[in-house]
Amino acid sequence: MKIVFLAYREWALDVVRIVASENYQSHTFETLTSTQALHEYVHESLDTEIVFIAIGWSWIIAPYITKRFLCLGVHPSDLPSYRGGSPLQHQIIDGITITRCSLFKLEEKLDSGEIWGKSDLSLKGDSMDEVFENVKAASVNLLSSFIKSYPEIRTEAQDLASGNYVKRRKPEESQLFPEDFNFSDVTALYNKIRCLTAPYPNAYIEDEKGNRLFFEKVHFTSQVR
Amino acid sequence: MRIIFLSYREWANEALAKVAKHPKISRSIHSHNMIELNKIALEDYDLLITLGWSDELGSSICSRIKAIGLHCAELDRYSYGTPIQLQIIDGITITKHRIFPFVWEPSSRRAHTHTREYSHETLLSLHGNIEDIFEQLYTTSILLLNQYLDDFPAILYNKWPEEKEVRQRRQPSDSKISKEEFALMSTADLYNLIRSLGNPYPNLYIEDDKGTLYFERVRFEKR
Repeated sequence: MKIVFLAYREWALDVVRIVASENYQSHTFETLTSTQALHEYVHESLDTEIVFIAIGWSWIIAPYITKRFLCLGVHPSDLPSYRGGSPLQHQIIDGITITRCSLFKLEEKLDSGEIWGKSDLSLKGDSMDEVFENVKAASVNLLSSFIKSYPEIRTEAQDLASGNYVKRRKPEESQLFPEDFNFSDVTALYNKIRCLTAPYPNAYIEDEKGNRLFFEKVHFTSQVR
Repeated sequence: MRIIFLSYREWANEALAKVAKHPKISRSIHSHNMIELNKIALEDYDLLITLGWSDELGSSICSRIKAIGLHCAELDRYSYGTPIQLQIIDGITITKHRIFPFVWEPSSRRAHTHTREYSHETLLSLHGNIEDIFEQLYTTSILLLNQYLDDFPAILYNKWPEEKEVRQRRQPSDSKISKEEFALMSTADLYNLIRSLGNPYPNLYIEDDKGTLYFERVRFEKR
């Protein structure tokens, strides 16, 4: 089987490197890093059996590709929960610390395709760098398991009525207000700040003059001093 | 010249390694704590140079060897410990970095029981996070110590003016503020407080029955 990874983010390319370095005798791997490269590749490979796997891929894959080939995507939530944008941020803000990474079929309706596998994912960590390390590990487990088992995999349709859909967060949603400090417990503040560490728009407070204080790094202990 | 260096912080160790290359130095030894220092025959050396050193040397050291240190403040009120933190919190952005002689005066309340004497000085910016300030301290320390060694032994001393106001050394427990205080502070004051308590100092924190949240690093964007 030929597997073509769609990845351009550094953490996603790390996942590809680790997975592709394992010795799968009957598979070949390639990586594409842009939509233009994807379209050129597809036009030259219409008669080939290929599985495309998108990891941290931000662009929609055209229907003529998803209908012709098996196209899968990695989503860092326990689908059908947290379909949509900014799933890591939404789950962390909601206080979720253990979730799953889902491998699902890419279809026209966002994050709604059948499930091809899941792996455990921890959302712990003081920064998104640490969370991305967890996502990397979970993605490697997920893809390794998929490659070893394919095509003997029992897929499962998503029960979209039982899950939830979340919208991609906007930079202005990173603002914290005095009431966040007065009325939220410190775990809620910690979660809101840590899920917005680099490369995301950092959590900030703003004064009446428009000056902004951005929180770049925090850490938390459940012990009270 | 035969020199003993005394430091334990990484930036200070690296700066003193540069100073050790000064052409006047014929022999040098580097101590990283008082146990190592106490094993050295001080009388075999001409000068003890400390850098980033937070503790007293005591009479047993000061009576046996000429010793100098570096202090980063212009005003007398910041002579009692944690001068960088206190100046940043007070909104000071430019200060002085100075060489002072260790003189054991048991009645002195100033940090290191030092007097108000200094020899060499340079400007020091207090902008940025602690790591940015340490980078500057690294450079100004090398500059000041090389100037001191150039001039040695003809060192001229000045005195900074005495002030009645005393800013007491900060304690780790001072890094705690309530959530209500946090919410009431201006963004500029919070920025100064949090950046002054960047690593390796005890970070600013708020706490409740769920735990403790520490603020390690912030960025300020003035409109």
